[in-house]
Amino acid sequence: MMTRHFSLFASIAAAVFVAAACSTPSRTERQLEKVDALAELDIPSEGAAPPVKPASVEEFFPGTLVISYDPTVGKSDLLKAVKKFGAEVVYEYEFINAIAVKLPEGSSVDATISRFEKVNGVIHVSKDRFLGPDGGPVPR
Amino acid sequence: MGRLTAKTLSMLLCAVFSAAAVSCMKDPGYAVVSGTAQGGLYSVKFSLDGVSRTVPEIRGAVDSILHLVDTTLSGYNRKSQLSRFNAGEQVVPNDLFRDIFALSRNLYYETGGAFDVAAGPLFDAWGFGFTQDSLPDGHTVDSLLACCGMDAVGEDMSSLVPGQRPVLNFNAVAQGYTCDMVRDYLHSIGVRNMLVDIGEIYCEGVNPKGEPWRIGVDRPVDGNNQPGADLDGIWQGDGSGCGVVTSGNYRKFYIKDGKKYSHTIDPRTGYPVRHSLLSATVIAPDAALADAYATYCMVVGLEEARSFIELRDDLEGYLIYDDGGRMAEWASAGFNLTERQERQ
Repeated sequence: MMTRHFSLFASIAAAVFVAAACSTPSRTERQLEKVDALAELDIPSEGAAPPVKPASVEEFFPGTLVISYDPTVGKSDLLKAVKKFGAEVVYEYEFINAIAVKLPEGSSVDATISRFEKVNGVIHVSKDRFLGPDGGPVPR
Repeated sequence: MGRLTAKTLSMLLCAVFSAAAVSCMKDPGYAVVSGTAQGGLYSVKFSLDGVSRTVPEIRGAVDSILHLVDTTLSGYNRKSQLSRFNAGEQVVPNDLFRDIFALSRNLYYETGGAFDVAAGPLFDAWGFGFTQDSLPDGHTVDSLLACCGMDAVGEDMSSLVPGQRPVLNFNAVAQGYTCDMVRDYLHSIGVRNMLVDIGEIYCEGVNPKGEPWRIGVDRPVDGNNQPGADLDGIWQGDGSGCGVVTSGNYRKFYIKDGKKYSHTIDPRTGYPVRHSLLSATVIAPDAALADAYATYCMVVGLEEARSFIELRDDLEGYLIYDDGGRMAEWASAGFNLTERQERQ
């Protein structure tokens, strides 16, 4: 009888302990609750590369390019080139001098980058990289 | 703390806490936009009070700023303007490139050469983390000092050394600069309460609780790889806009052939610094300046860093240093450390 009571008590005690352990915030969580952000140490470690390598494998929106242009030259030549190539302007950035264009199906992205780089006023052409939430891909 | 490791851990930690890139916080008057940028996570929290733009619009604008920075300044994006410039291609620098170069050039002269975005070949010679099989000899260091550094680069980014081309690296200022760009955009749409965290931090106004933002300062000890696991203290502002950046060194030095070396290379001498400063947290009106000055402090060491901060009305600082085997600290009069954690 005593043994059964002891077993029951031990089981309840263990369950309470586990539940308490699960619900008790860790030291890190408690510290993070106190702050809005962390000024992390900007330190390279032995053997580590200097800061900021891409966190994940690069992904791109297929067939889409972002083209930056020189505002002093303007984008008229660029827009003509886009139209002539049969591409579609899908976005004109408001805060940077750039447009996003969707290429016609079957066109080579790399060849098209070289083509647009030669257009008057174009500073840079790049693939449209995903900037995914929390490291994951953005909804497509 | 290994930057890469720390970032990876940071991502894992934040991924657990953050389920969505755009989500409302408990206070309906605030929103947070987050994602990945410049090799780590970014997070922008802001109040929507008086702002007519929608959160998706704001997210799109922030993304476009980050995209511009990536395609201009990233050393890891091989098609960026910076990468192509460093490879010797003819590049027409955009406004961002020109502006951060001009800022870096001013900082170079202001710091007497201790902050130098053109000293990359020198750092490469040492090998980051001293992973090279052999360390550079005196002749190599001397020759690199002669041909690299901002004093070998003209105002128009051309090389002043015949036969050499400049190699630039804006890592010590780009993240702070990006915070300032996001801040400027948020100001332009009427946001006054914001916390911009892109590896470095800019904060202004109050948090959703109505209190000035609180920033945890990590402790510079070996093995402190989990962000927030070992805070040294918590800084709290007064609501005015400022950048908050911590730069650090390990307590542990590398020993090779019986000699001690630290991580930080002094671009003025070409050799690793030898001083006791372990970390420098700098508060400045801009995040770019805080970023650059924190790096500067780690180059010049405790005494010079302390004098520099004390002489500048627009700066506050918190320095942690090794004092005979134990950690000690110094804070400027206006550095509001609300909570200091016990040290082991």
